[in-house]
Amino acid sequence: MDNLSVDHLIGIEHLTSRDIEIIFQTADRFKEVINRPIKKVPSLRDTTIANVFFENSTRTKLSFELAEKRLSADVVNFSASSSSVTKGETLVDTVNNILSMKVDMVVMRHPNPGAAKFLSERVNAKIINAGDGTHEHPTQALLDSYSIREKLGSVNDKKVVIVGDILHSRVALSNIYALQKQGAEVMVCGPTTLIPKYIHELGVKVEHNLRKALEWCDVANMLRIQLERQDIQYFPSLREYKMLYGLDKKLLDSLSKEIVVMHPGPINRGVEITSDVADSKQSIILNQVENGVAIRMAVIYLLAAKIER
Amino acid sequence: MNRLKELIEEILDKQIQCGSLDITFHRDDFRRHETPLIPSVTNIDFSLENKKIVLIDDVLYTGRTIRAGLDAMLAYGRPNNVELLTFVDRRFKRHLPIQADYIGKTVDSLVSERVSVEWKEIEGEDKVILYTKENNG
Repeated sequence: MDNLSVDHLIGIEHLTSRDIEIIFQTADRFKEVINRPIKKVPSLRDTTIANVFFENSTRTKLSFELAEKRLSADVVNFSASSSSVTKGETLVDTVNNILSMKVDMVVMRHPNPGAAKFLSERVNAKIINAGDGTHEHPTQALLDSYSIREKLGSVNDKKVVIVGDILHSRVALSNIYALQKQGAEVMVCGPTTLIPKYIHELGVKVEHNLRKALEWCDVANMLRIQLERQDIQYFPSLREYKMLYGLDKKLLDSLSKEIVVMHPGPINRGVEITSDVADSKQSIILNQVENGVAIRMAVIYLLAAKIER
Repeated sequence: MNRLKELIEEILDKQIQCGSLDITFHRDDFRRHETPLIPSVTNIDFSLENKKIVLIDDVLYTGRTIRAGLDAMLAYGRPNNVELLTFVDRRFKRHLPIQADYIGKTVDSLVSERVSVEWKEIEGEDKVILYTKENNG
């Protein structure tokens, strides 16, 4: 079997559909591993991985760290808030310093779009993008597609609507690429101010009415309203957003078919999605989290195979 | 695998539990291949704790697969004891001090030769083939 066509995971944009399939097949095996009594395999015991987070994260960081540890890699963690970055060190200097300590792979989250690509061109280590600003968040999109595949059998020909703040969302962009490469139809739904003007050029449908979007789709991926990325007001109030774009049980039950509900987390309960929907049997939010570890193990395993000895 | 299970049950005159183990993640040659090692399915839906285990592999050669298998097996519990059954034992080429308890056939073969075992259920016929790969690849 062949390996990935890329040496780093910068974005889904650079992956082929074959790459995605290889990652999913490998993740199937790791999903079995993490459900064993002893959830650990020794494959990466000679590999050191640095998790470099210039932006806050709970779930992604935890998920990556678990994935690395279950592959027996050595792990070092770095977060910007407690580092020399605040003293004015540049990104390349920071990472080169880390690499001087013999690190093979860097998992990085950074507020600037393109940071992961920039790094991959300048340092000698495998780079995994754990989110670069509003650009891409490839492992999230992979685990989202993997969860759809697990729930519905395949992603091909499925209709997926991504609801919410598309403008600031790296999850949305990565998901659009991932879903389209696997043959799904994608629609985005949200207030005009949060939909990028030229998004239709990516081949996605645009809908501003949530009910119409939900009637069309098989899967609804409800994004979080990213208040931290909004320096101006994009909609009058959270209450109004909730009334027009929030998914509640009444709306979900009134649809003509059972759709699958997803959310990349963290949830603003009662804003984009109500508690009874988040906890309903149509929601696969917690499956997404479990699959996240398996997907990240697969990506790390496949990229680690490319490290030169 | 089912045929093997039935055969062993017939010999022992009791029911046994049977599962398949993939050892890819426990191999000692990660990153020594051109292509990555893609795993196949592990299916063990019972605990190995305090059980008597017979580990089965078609061909015993360097012993490295069995080494990895012993390691992989421990993720499912601590067995009471483990024995090894192999259909074909290619002796004299062991890299590790591992010997089988039950052997179908012992063969003396060259390093350049390959041994493969085919199954009625999979390939259509029960066969053990000793062959030489062209250009010694």
